[in-house]
Parts: sequence; structure tokens; C-alpha cells
Amino acid sequence: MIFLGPLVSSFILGFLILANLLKNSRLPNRAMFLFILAAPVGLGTCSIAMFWAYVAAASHGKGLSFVLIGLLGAYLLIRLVLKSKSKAVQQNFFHLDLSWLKKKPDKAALLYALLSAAAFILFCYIFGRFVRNFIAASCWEIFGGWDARFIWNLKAKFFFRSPAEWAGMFRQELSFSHPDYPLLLPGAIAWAWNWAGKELLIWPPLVAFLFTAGTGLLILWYLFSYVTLWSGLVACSYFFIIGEYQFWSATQYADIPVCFFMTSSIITLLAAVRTGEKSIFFLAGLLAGMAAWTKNEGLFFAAWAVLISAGALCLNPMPWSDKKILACSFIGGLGIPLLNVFYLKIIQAKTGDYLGSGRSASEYFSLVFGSGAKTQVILNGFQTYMTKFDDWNGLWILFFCALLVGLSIKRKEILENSSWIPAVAVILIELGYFAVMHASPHEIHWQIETALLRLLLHAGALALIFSFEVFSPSSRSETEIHP
Amino acid sequence: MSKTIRLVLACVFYALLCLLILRSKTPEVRPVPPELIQGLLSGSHRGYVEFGNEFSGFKKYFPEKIHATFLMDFPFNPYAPTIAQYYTAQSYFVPMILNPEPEEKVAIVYCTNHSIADQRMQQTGYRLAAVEGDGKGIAVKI
Repeated sequence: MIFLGPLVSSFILGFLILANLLKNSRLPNRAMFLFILAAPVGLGTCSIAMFWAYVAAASHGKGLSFVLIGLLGAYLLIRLVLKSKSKAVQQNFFHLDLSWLKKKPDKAALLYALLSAAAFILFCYIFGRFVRNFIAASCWEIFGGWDARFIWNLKAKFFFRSPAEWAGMFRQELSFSHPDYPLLLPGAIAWAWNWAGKELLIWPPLVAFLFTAGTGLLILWYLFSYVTLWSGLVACSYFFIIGEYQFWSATQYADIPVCFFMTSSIITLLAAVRTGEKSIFFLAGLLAGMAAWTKNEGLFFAAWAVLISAGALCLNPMPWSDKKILACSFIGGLGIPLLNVFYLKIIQAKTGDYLGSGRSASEYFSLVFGSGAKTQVILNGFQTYMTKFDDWNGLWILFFCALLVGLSIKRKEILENSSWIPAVAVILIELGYFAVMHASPHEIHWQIETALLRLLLHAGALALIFSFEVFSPSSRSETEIHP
Repeated sequence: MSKTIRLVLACVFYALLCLLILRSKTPEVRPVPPELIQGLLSGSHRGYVEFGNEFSGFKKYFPEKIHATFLMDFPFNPYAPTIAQYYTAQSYFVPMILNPEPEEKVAIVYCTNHSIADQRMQQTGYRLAAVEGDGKGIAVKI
């Protein structure tokens, strides 16, 4: 069980970061949220710290990364213990919103309990099946899929095997492994390898599992907190039967972690808008930044997240001075991982497929708007891949139905409780990919066949959340969430 | 929106979802021998072979981490069906850099057979220095 050390340490680090941020928060079901996010946030932070340790000390990067992460953990622990302001909130930290259990048993409460129990049984069965399949697929393909072998784990080997030569991963001879790709996943893998002193085969699939399970559980947390428990359990079960998530989770690609960070950032932003707390805005920004530190697509997402948060704040009736503070908090969180991304792109790996490709803005403009035939091929690609039933189990069809229902019947409610945020995020993410496909340096059919399905993974969980929120009989009122 | 429409929509939606979940196919799972799982959990990796192990024979030629060319059947082409061999070799030899272009003083020759290897060495200006199998070996720049 040599992997337990890095697993527990990254969980504790993530826990401390989140506990510091959320200690005085009114976020519903905070403890559940914190347990879901702790390990991924911890791994992301380890990766960020490792990168700077290697930049600063190269051959001593391994040792320095342990020192940095240790010091950060110690600081967060001391801050949490010494500077906790509100004892009342501290005592209430592990509160789970199970008020419906305490209600006087009436017909509605009984129905809620029955539905929740049935949904829980369904969830246990589906999740058990997912775990069994994941273990089998991972054991037989322990080195993961193509990108895991030749991009993510290859970069992790540079971190682990020879810190003095870690920058070899940015050399042009290795253009096949995309020297400019962000390093959250390789850093998270190398963190455990450095800890264990060997290339633990179990670690990359374990990281993949943490992010996949985390994405499903985030859906559960959001719907449990803002809709109903049974709705969350059904949605989470539905997520774990979607063929695409089942397949790609075991390949150890970075698409699932980026899906996790995009989903967590948007639902945290939604919670931030509803609570109006700056620490949650900071967290939403941090998670968006971590998406950018995971994949290039995350950089695109970070721009959308800024746009969405600006839109959400503009629509909010609070005073402008408060809006400025919240916006600064979001940008502050976003800026931490973005520093890594910019240093990587500007200093370490100056060339890339898009950034650093030497193409001008006008070239990109003519690529996006200049070819009707290419646009048609890309549109057909989206239509074909989104409607593949075996791959998505109807997820995208449900999302478009939810959009129709949302726009026609539930418009007022969606605007009032900011439920439009996940839907707008999905649309912007897909629009971004639609535009980027035009500028791809690769042959368009090849690009669509190899990348489009994976790109659709990124916003799938958000599409699912929006669909469930629209079709569910009633969302919880604000007073019910924050008594 | 009236409560009735809302309720009807919700009923249809959840009935459909439950149907989709319950009718979802259980993927066929090849049973995993417990020894493999034990090997992974303990970190001994019993039952697994190191990734790129087919290149282990070449390791003795590189006591120092120098750059080397990786010579394949064809000039480097990322879309070639056998390109995974080069990527696997690079992954195995990290942190040593394997250059797919014939620019380095030493080359790992990894071709399908010796006649293709001879042809490729002639094209790129290498001569064979050590043999590691049919079409495989170490070459040095002429």
C-alpha cells in the first residue's frame, strides 16, 4: 500500500486549502463538497508547487518540492487552527443538509424518503458496476491509452527520473509529446512517484479514478444541495453509465481531470453567485486556473469562466464596490495556476499548435470564417458524435431538450437563481471548440475523429447538471438552503 | 409555469432516465487475476512487464545519457502505423532524448529486417556497430 502516503498527503493538503477557504462559508453541505474536492485540489497544488521547485532548483527540485508542499501544509494548518473566527460555524462544519429526515412524517416527506432510498440503491449498483469495470480495464491496460503513454506519463518520467534534465520534456525533438502542454497531470503523477521512489503503476489509474469519481460526486453534491437528494443520485447514476465516461476514465487521459475542474469551477461559481462570498469566488477562479494547468482547452475555458463570472456579477443587484471585490477574488484564484501556464508557454516551451505557432490574428480569423466547406464538416462532426446513442446515452439530446424547456417555460426561474450559468458554460465551451477546429494544423477529418469525442467529455457533466435542474419538479428555495 | 406541466415533465424525464439507466449495457469484463491486483497494491508490479521492455537490450550501449537518433523503416511520420515503436522507445529511455531525425552521432536502428535497416543506414549515413536482432542494432555516423 505504498500509494497511500501520496494519496493521503495530497488529500490533506487539498482539505486544508478548502477548509481555510470555506471555514466561514454558508455553502450547503460543505463537508461533502470538501471531501469530493480535497484530493484533486491537493494534487493540483502539488503539481503547481512541483513545477516551481523544478524551475528554481532543477537537480534539487524533488527535495525542494517536498519542502515547499510541507511548508504550505503547515502554514494552512496553523492558519486554520489559530485564525478560526467563528466557533459556531466551526462546530457546524460537518453539517449535512438532511433536514427532510427531521421533518414530521407526512406524505411528501415519506415520498421523498422512498425516492431517495430507491435512488440510493440504484446509485450503489451502478457505481459498483462502474468501479468493477474501471478496475478490470485499468489492470489490463495499466499503461493507459496513447496520450497517457506518450504524453502525460512520459512527461512525468522526466520529472521523476532525472530532475536535472527535467527540461528535456520541452525539447523540439519530442514535438510528438507536445512540449507546450500544461503539466498538472504529469506533476500529480510524479508527485507520488517521487514520494514512493519508484514509478508506481497503480498511481496513474488511481488519479484517473479520483477525478472520474469526483466528477460524478460533484453532480451529486450540486443536485443534492440545490435540487433534491434523489435527483442527485439518479443524475450521478446516469453519469456513471455514459459509455464515453466509462471508456475514457480508464485511459488515463487528461480529458477527465479537465472535465472535473471545468465542472467544479462552474458549479462553485454558481454557488458563489448565490451566496455572494468572496472565498467561494476565489475557489471558483482557482479551479478554473487548474483546468488551464491541465489542458490547453482549459485556457480557453478560463477565458469563458471570466466572461461568465463578469456576466453573473453584472446581473446581480449588489453594489458595484462588492462586485469589484468578488471579481478580484475570482481573478486572484485564477491567477495562481495561470502563472504556471504563462511561464511554461513563454519561457519553457515557446512553440505550440496554436499559441506560439507564429500565426497572426488575421490568419486565425480567415481560418475560422473563410471556409464554408470546413465549417460544414465540423458541424456534421458535432451532430454525428453528439447523437451517438451508445456513446452518450442521449445526454446531448436531453441537454438540447432542457435548453428548449428552459428558454420557453422556465426562463424566469432560471434567470432568478442563476441556473443559466452551466448552460451558458456548455454552449461557450462547445462554440470555442467549434472555432478552434477550424484553426487546427491537422487534417480536419483526422482531427474530428481523434479529438471531438474527448472534447465533448469536458462539458458533459455541466450539460447533465443543467438538464436535471430544468426537468426536476422544484429546486430548493434559498431559505431552505440557507436557513 | 403551472404545477401540472412541471410535474408531467418531471415524471416523463425521470421515467426516461430510469429506463436508460436500467437498460444500460453492462460492459463485458475480463476477470483480473488476483496476483495482478496484489502486485499493483503492494508496488511489486508482479505480473507486469516494464513499458518499452523490448528496448532493454539497447540500454547497455548508453551508460551516459547522450542524444541518439532512432532509425525506423521510414523517415519520421507521426501518422505512420508503426510510429508507436519510436514513442515507446523514447518513453523507455527518458531522460535520454531520441531524435527521429538522422542528426546524432549514434543511432538505435529498429527496422523490420536487416535489408530495410541496411537501406535506411545507407540513406542516412550510418554504419552498423552492434547487432541486437534482425534489422536492429546500434549504428554510428560515418
